[in-house]
Amino acid sequence: MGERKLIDENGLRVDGRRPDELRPIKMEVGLLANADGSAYIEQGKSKIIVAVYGPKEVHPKHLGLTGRAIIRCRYHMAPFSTPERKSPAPSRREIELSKIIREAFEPVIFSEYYPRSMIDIFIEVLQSDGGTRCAGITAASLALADAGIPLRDLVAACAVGKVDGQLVVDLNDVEDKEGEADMPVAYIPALNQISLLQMDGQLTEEEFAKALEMAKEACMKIYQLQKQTLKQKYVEAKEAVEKGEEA
Amino acid sequence: MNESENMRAKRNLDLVTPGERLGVIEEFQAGGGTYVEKGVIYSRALGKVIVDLERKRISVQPKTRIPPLLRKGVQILGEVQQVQDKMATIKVLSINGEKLSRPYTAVLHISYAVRGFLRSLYDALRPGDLVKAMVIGDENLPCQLTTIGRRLGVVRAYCTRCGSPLTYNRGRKILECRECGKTERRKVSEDYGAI
Repeated sequence: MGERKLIDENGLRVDGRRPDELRPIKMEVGLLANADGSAYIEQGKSKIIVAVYGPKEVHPKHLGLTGRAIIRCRYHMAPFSTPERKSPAPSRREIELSKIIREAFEPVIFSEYYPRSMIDIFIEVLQSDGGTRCAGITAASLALADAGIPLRDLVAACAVGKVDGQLVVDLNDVEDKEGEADMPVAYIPALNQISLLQMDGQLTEEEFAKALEMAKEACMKIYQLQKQTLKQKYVEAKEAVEKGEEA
Repeated sequence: MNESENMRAKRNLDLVTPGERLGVIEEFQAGGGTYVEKGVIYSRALGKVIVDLERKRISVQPKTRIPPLLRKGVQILGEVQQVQDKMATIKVLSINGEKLSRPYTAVLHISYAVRGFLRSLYDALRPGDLVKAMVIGDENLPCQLTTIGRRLGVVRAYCTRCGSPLTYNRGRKILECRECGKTERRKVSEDYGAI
């Protein structure tokens, strides 16, 4: 593959963003009627829908715990979500991501309030352009809050990476594949805790420290958007009720 | 984040999301919908802040649904799924009057069906009956129920011969089928026929 410049002479990235700039983000909550909580996110060209079911009865029963609810997560990429058709069967990567996303939520869900129950999180990637695990976590937080599941905080996630020797946030697919490093981070702002941290490629110690700071900053921007989206839904619902009363 | 906005104490009726700082334990008691972490009170739900200045209590009233839970002491309405001599399985359809989107399963042991002696649980319940019961044990899986109590027991039953709804003859304390005339026994609730 020929060498491709990922950062131009003006310091802009392949999609014209500055190194610390996020892709345009659109979030929605409560769009699935039959799920207990749901959310949709568009982050650049990545599009993800999340549904949360529960707390509900545990099946199979032997998995149930008397002290707390169990959390299950399924991250799945639709066959049409990638440039080349992807097999619908869960791949090694999807199984791993399902596990780490579940672990990213375990510190924030008050699972002890719902003993002998199960909370299911389904993350379905409809269109993928990099950063889907992070966008999936961001949307799953909204869906969990929408389902009324008690949470310590919303989890916001964003990746930081290194392309052409420079640290950049929120990598897209090209930067992810052709860049030198990629580090997805999920952050819990209220507790100042990191619930997911992975890294591909190589970063020096200084770069790692800086990348972590950049990731936290990016997560805080996403966190603000999450809060706005959740509040917006209820402001809209209230307005709709008031309008209905006037009519 | 706008630090000053996050640090200021929340006002009554403010809309908050999980994780939003509400105040500190020196100024308020943490009420429902909140939790305390290192002396700071945070919201754990998406909802409205309720500040009770008289009791110095801050709480969050959820705007979302509140997921119901089978907890000791709650009253349930369920459908009898399976009956054996000593044990019945009940599909819980509502908890404290709140309909469940997905049912839970609970069990009723013969010793908690009626106050007196019962030879078989078939004399108290039959599959397909609707029963009002109370959760008495939530430590084990599945939850244990009781139908001991005047308002607890079968609230709707069907004839085991023709499938028609049975009517309760309060004088004879027996259930009768108006279609085929069969009479049956159940542990009948005071609210029989009201649901």
